[in-house]
Amino acid sequence: MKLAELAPDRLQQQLGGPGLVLGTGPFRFRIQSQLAQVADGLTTLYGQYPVHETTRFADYPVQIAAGLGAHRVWRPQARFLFDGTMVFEPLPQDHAYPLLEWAMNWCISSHAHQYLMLHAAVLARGDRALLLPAPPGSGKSTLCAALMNSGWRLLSDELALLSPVDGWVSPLARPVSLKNASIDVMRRFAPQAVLNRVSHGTAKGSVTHMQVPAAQLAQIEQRARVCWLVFPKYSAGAATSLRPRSRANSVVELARNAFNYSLLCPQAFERLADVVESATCHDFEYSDLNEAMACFDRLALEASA
Amino acid sequence: MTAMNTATAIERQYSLRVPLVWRELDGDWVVMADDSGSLHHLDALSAALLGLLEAGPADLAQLLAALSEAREEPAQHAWSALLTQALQRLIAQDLVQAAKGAAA
Repeated sequence: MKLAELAPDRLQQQLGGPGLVLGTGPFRFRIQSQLAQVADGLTTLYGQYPVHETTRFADYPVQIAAGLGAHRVWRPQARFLFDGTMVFEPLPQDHAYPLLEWAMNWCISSHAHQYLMLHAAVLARGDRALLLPAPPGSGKSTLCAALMNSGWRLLSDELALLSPVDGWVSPLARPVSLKNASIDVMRRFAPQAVLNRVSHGTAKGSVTHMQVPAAQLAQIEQRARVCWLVFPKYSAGAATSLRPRSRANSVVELARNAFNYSLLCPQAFERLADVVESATCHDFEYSDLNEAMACFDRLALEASA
Repeated sequence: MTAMNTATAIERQYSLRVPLVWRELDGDWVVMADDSGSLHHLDALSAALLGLLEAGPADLAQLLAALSEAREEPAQHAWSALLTQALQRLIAQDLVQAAKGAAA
């Protein structure tokens, strides 16, 4: 069953009771919350994701609860509890939905060590993956959202899940996080895309999430192998440029972008080197999204020629 | 470098601090320190030095001789300073350790 097929009262009942068991990629989350922002956000963004019987096993129990004490009334808060333990400081209740997404990211990056996890966006054409590792502020999420709306299949906007055995990437396909100026940029670029309501004044500024197209979710089981490794950088006014970069340096940079590289060494080193060896490696600078899309289309075309 | 520093360097025995895992990519070398997992993208000289030290500890004179043999050209005066600098970088990266050896 998909979340969209669940009647609103049953959704509320599950979220407020035993928890909504939601599948996304290889993981299941048990989400509990009585906050309307959470139910609304899930309805907007996760309609096409599978939901399971409430009695079924879930990897990560996530609760987004209301504040305690005076914060029930004044300056209402939202708290993230993992398996009953509060992990982050409470946030204003208006940030409850982004808190859920950040909590889900935290659950995966802190626990899913069956994968080599990189801080990177991943998209694919067929089974050929484009890996975009980059620090915050590099324009990675904007680029990722634009590519997702330009014929590329989203695997993940933040967390690349690589198999430590063969280096292939498993799709996570969760909604794409957008913040600040990129929200309006994407509204103009992809007016058909569905966005959740914007939460203002978070630690990251104004944030929202973009729904993943249903056609892409239909391929959520389809892994991809990294063919292109591209380090993106947005620079206002810059001409679009795609330059080859050193493979050796790319391995070092990928390891820096990994959440659990040290934990999975030496296998992680071998796998990262394998991934880099079988991919083309580039630095990419851009300011114009349409030009950027054309550039990535050429990459894909060259590979399939 | 002063004469005294050079003399000190010559007396030192250099060795790998930990075993290394190697990978060549397009003619560049990346090594991983086996204990910490730290990664290092090496220039050619550093890669050659680490390769020599994998065979066992050596002092500067021995390393100079080995490099001269590998390059099939006589050791040049400037090499000593270059090698010392490269060894200092490798020590700073925690890949190589230096111990005082017997004076020649």
